[in-house]
Amino acid sequence: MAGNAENFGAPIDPPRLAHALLAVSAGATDKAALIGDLEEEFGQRVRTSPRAARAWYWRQAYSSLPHLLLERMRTERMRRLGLAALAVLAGFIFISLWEIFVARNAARGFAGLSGTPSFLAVRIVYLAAQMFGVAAAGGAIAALIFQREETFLHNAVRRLAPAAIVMFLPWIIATLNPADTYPLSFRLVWLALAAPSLVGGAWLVRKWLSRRAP
Amino acid sequence: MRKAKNLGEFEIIVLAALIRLGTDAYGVSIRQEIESRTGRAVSVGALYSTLSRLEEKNYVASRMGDATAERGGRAKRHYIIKAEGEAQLEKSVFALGKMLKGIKAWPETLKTLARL
Repeated sequence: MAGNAENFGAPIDPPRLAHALLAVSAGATDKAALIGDLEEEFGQRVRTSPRAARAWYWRQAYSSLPHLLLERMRTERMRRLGLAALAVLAGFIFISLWEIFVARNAARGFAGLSGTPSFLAVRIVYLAAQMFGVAAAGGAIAALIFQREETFLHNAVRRLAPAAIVMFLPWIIATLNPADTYPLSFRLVWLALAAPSLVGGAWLVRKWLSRRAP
Repeated sequence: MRKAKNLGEFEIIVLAALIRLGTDAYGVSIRQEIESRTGRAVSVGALYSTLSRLEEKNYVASRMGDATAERGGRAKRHYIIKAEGEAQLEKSVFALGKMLKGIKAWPETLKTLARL
């Protein structure tokens, strides 16, 4: 910790939580240099105003987190986890749109077939189309993350990533909510199919992109 | 090798800062140079992720310096722009200049830039 600035004789260190967040988020390659930079500048600022220096350190920490996490997802082992979280968000958006525009109309349209063998076929096609859409959504996110050039969409995804990670757990909890209108068994089957579809779609696109690169 | 694309705005700014700072370019000096010249707050995370991307594209090189007490015993990472980075920066700025040439929308800004 910095500790080179004095206030009433006691060394003042950067905020511990902010420091820990940065240490956890930064990749192994840049961690020492990045933390060292912040410590050096904190030491300069704390001489003028310890309170302002701590606020500055916090601002640096929270504005750096999305960049550091996304960079690690792109370059390190965390990429699979991050990719899965982002793919789940894409799937969530897709399923929400599906529920609004397709599910209700399909239920009305095929109501006459209920209980017949054709109805089972319709359900299988319906589920397959849904999973294909989920996989495509995961693939689209992967394409945006792993393309190297900076584009508007790429930057937008980088900024949305923290929200995607935060939304991952509530979505799972909402899916398992007993008050949901679908039977629990159906929702569990749906989750078991949707998760591999999402990550599978993302993985396929990632593989395709890496083949294109030399 | 993939076809090099024009640089993003922040990449241009970072590469220009590296040229300005020469051998003294490291995290703190780059950040302060950008903030003082552009008035734009730069997070250390944004800076390091951009530098990492530029290094991956072979536009900059880095080396570890000595550890100092004021940095809690942590070493500085010094950055330097490579010839490929300079060439790409020139190409991107040239493309931008061609797009801006003849535009009369911001006469005061262009006059100020010409004076700098």
